[in-house]
Amino acid sequence: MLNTRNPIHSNMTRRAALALAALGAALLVGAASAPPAPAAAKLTAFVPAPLLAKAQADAKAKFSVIVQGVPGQRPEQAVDNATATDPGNARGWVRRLDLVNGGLAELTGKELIKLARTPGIAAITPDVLVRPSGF
Amino acid sequence: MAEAWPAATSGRLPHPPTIAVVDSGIDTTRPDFGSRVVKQVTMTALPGNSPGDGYGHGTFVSGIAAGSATGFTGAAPTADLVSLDVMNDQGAAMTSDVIAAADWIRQNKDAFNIRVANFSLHSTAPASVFWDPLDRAVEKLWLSGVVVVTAAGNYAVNGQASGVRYAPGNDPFVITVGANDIAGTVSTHDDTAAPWSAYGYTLDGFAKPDLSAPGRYLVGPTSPGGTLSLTRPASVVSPGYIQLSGTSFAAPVVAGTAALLLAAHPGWTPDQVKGALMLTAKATPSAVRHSEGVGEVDAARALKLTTPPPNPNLALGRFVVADPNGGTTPVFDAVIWGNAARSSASWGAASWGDASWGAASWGDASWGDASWGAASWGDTAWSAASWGTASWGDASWGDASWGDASWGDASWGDTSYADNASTDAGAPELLDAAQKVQAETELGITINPDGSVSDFGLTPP
Repeated sequence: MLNTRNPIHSNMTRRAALALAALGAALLVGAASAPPAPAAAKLTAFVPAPLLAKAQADAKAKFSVIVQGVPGQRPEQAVDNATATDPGNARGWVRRLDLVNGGLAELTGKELIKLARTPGIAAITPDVLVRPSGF
Repeated sequence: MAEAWPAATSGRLPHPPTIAVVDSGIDTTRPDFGSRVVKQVTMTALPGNSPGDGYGHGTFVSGIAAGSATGFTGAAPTADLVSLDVMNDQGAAMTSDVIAAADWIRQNKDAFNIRVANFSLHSTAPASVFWDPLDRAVEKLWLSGVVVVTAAGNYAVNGQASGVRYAPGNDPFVITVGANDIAGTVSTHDDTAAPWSAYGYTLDGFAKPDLSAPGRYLVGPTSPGGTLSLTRPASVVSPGYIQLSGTSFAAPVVAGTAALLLAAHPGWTPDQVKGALMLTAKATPSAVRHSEGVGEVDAARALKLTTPPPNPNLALGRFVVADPNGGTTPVFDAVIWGNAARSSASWGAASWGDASWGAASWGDASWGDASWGAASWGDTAWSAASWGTASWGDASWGDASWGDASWGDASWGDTSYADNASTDAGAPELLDAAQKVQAETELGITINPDGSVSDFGLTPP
């Protein structure tokens, strides 16, 4: 099970496999009404299904996301590469967040899908609002 | 707490470490803090953020943690404070800003002697610790030696279990605090959880909160010109002081207590601080089981603890590995843990049952007479219901979370991520329909269709 040379990378691969399995399960649930998009099978990074669906539905929409790299690989270059295909539409890499080996990025739907297929990217999740727990 | 304050203020305790407050800022003109706000950092990328504290929440939280004004003393009234302002004047923050604040704390903790960080906030998207970046950030902060205290959230309805589904309160390492209603008495026998105080299982099957603290009808300082004061004038009890409720304000009671514990035991790790707080918590027999975790924090009792406390995160320890990025702070490998957790033999029996909880630590110390043995942990919660059968095997992990409900449909799929994904999607709904009604009626607030709150009703009726 463990790759003793690089166990964490192996774990991240398993993370991606788990995510894909979960995504696959979710897609299977809805298979009767809508077949899964072919592109989803090629993703190597975890992307929440709703975000993925929105990105697939609108290639030009902008998404503010937190990109996490797999251990040992910084994701900045991958984001730059992904945004190079559609320069000027979204901001691309915004800032580094060391604690999660990643950072904040603004991507178009097209760029997001491309990034999610890039080796070295562990997860792409929305930069959601946070609220005080005072109510 | 009252028994602890004389020790904290009379010099019988060494100066406590600094508490970092990740919130809406601190109004440093308040006399409650003197010159103890040693650093203010603004991290928010959202517009509409005033200098200091334009909302008022962070000042209140800081007052509960470390205020020192006569009659409004906080839990650790001599502790220094560092303010990480991540919220604008409407109390909104972005996840990336909160992570950036955690990043700042880790990078500057030694310079400012930060050993405790309070997060009285939560994400608006349910999540698993597998991927949530805010969970990963607070985990790493914890593993770097900072005690992370978070609010459980206020989305329970009529005292029913709600689950604790949002980061960072859903993280197994950190201290998640529920709000206790002390019923106006000193005794804890009539105490219950506030009916809106979130409790239950995380999407990963962890029982939360870990413990509780008073969180209803608290009075503390706020910024007089802040949004809270302006929108809730009836709650202002005297100039600069307001009455509020919420797990937001229970958390800093525990954060302050953690600072006192670290003053007395500077060598303790975050795990040991958590263990001491949980071990010495007072039972609340009138509360619904698990609604207050192991019970209500008891600072005086915790400070009397002389033996090294047990580690409530011990079973997670074998999943903490060296940082593959080369850093000095280890990381939690959720995948290895997930594999073990799904195997009932290794996780359910060996880890929790034998090694950490049952035999080694808890049995000897004060397990029996504290709140653990009887009320919460001993029988139902860990052994039978949550780990062994209910959460992992059946509901959360095996079926609901991964396969069907959480990942596929419920957590990622419903309103939260779907609505928040686009940058122009506007404010998301924090609550589902039933919770929205509950929040509006019990907390006296109005939640607009776009998720914004017109009346910042932090005080239940």
